[in-house]
Amino acid sequence: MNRSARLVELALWLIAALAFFGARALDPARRAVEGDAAKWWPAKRPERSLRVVTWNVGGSDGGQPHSLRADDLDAVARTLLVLDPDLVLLQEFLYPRDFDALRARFDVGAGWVRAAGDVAIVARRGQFVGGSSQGGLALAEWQFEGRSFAIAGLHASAWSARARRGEIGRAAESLLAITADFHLLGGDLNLDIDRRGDLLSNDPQRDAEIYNWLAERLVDAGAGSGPTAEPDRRLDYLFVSNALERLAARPWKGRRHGTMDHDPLVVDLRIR
Amino acid sequence: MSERLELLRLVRSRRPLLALAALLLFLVLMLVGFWSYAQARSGGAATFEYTYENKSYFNGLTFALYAFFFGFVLLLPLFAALEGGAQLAGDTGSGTLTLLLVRPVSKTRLFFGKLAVAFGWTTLLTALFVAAALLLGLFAVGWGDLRLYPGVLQSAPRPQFLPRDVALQRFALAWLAASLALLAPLSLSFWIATFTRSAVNAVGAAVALYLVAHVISEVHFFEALRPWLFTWHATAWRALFREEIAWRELAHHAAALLGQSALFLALAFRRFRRREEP
Amino acid sequence: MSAAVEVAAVTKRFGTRAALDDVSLSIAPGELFGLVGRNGSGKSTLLKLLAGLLAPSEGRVRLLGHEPFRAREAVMRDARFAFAPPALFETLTARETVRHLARLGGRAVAPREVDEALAAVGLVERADDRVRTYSFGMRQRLALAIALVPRPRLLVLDEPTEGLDPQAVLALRALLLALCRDHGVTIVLASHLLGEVESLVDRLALLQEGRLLFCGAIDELRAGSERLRIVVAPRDGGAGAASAASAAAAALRAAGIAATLRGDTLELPAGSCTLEQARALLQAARLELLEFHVERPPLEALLDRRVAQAKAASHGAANGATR
Repeated sequence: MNRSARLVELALWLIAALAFFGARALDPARRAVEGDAAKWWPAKRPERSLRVVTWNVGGSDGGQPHSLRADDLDAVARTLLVLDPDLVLLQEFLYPRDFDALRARFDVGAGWVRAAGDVAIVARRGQFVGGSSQGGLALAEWQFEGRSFAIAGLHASAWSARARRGEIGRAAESLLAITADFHLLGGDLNLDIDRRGDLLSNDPQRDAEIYNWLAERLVDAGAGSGPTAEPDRRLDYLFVSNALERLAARPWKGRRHGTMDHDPLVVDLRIR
Repeated sequence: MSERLELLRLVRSRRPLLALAALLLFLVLMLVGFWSYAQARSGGAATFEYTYENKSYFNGLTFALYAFFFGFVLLLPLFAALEGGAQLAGDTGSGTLTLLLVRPVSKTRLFFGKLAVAFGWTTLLTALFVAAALLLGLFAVGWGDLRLYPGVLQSAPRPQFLPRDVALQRFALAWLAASLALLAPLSLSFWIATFTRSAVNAVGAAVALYLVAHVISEVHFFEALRPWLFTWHATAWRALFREEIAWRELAHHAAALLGQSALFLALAFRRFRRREEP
Repeated sequence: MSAAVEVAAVTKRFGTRAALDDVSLSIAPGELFGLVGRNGSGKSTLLKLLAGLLAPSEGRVRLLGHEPFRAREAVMRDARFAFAPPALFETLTARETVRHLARLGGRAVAPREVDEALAAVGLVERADDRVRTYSFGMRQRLALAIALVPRPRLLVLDEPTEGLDPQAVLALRALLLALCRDHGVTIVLASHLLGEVESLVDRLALLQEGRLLFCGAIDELRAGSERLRIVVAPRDGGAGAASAASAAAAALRAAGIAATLRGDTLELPAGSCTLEQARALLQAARLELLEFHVERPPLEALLDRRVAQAKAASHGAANGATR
């Protein structure tokens, strides 16, 4: 075997190794999760900002909403205490048992608005001035820092793109019908717009259509912040009025407890 | 020089003609498919300007992009795999590799000569395919600006608009990126071809592996495996048709493809240079 | 001068089977050497070891001073191989094949050289036809033409006359002899057609089941195998032919040579004496050698005898070991 052939082979191995390391370093998903997130969590939130958390706190068993265990609620409360959000959108959160249990652990100053299913909007500060529910959609009118907010909390269908297109569309229409300075729509929308469709996807085109329809009306505040749910999907969203400036948005990794399969998505906004 | 000999052999073989004929047939079938879809949608009164979901954006560029994408996923890797089988396993099986090995030329030169010709041909074939798709689109549908909506191509989650000239430049970039992506199945086929003396077995095995990798990379249950499959990175060139190109993301996929290609080539070359020729 | 080909205690195993077992031979520069053996004897394995296509399991192979498996490129600068059956590029013409393969070493090849090689094998008229239209014999000739450009120092040919018509065989023999004698090319000729080998080579090696049964000059192989038939006459012309033959038989028997009388002719057993010895004995008996005929058994018979001897020896050794 001559030496030059061995050197050529070595060069190929080196190229392969370097390219793999390069690919890893350039991986956008890895940067989003390990890079920026690691830098600023759990940092203090910027002053005069509005912090919103949306979190599907339920388990991944895929069944009906179920009551959280005491230690799950402890974990949720611990996370919320650290984050100190002004507004929390919860999904797979069974009212009233879970709410009463959470209130015992976490100061829910302004109260809550609940929906018929498993959705709740919880405010620590500010003041609720109105609230209603339409099926699994919770709608709230909220005063904060002297401004009015209309808020929609939603847990869209996991099983049918057709169903969630209808749910998201109706939620947005109901939300935008409310007169307010700012509008917010958030929750587990069960669509992953960042993800490439695949052979077993449930109609990615329908999801793209409703996402684009929504994105024409409100801004996706969590865009580019990386996956929030198993397996590596961005299912949790917060859409906000364009007038709200996005300061930061990241899922906080490592806060799941028990059978939870979502991370809390934390968004800091500046009221302009 | 071994490259010149390999080039002459490729030109004289039936493979180029076969590949071009297959790709042209594929384009014509795509055109017929779009036409029949338009006919069905418009109650039989379709012209090409009124085809597909929306008459406002379908044109020759959209057709070319769809044809390029499906041709890239379904056909071009097969022709890349064919080259590996024909160049190495075919030569081994027919004994012509021995004819080359008893000349004063190194195995390194032979291996990379074959690879260069195969890669050059795959790149040229890709260029011809893109050019044919664009020309067919121009004559059958007519060109315009390129508008893309989230859908089958999945090139962007939001609607995109590219003026015609920009879109044509993006086609040129996509050709280069797709050619790099085809190096991976080509390298895989070279590696497999070092294990067998039969071109048919080598091509069959390479195509089967490609299809398995493609299916696995397109099923989200295997999400953890995706970064390790070249098929997952191979279609990243679609992102070149976004208004804002995410270069860093493209560089990530290009690096992954280069790494996997180099890995297959290192394995192929290692086996080729060390093996005996009984 | 160092050997052109040196095979030292080479064993080649495929799995547990030894295709070659402890083979040693040496071929001098400018020699025309034959490699003979039946199918499966290990000829092809040995040729592939010489070409560097296989690596020896044990022992060492050197061609023109280099180990072919490790330094194949250096060996092939001056060595050419033509394997059987010839594998060729079907879609190229003969001229393209010869020209492109000749260039593979990076050396410029003049069109004249290509034409000369094609002329030497009688392929000029069909030189621009695609190889796929060639008969088997034409392929053989093309394989030889490929091996001739550029002119090598060592030429290894595997079954080169197979498929050739008698005229082409004669032309090939003349070509090989000219290469060897006029240009000092070392030629190794592997064949199972022993007559072809016998007419060309000076020395040969016999392989049987991977073992080297014989390596040396053909005369050495023949030694003691020639049968002598003689017709004698009395020196003074007195007695008749029949009585002279009887007298000669008696004289030879007296010298311990069991000559058989068949009419006027005496047959001497193989290896019993040389022609010169017989002549001397007859002279002493006042008889004159009128006519003689040396009967040489075909090479096949000699080799078969060697193979049989080897088998008997190994059988005997095995029996001895069993006892």
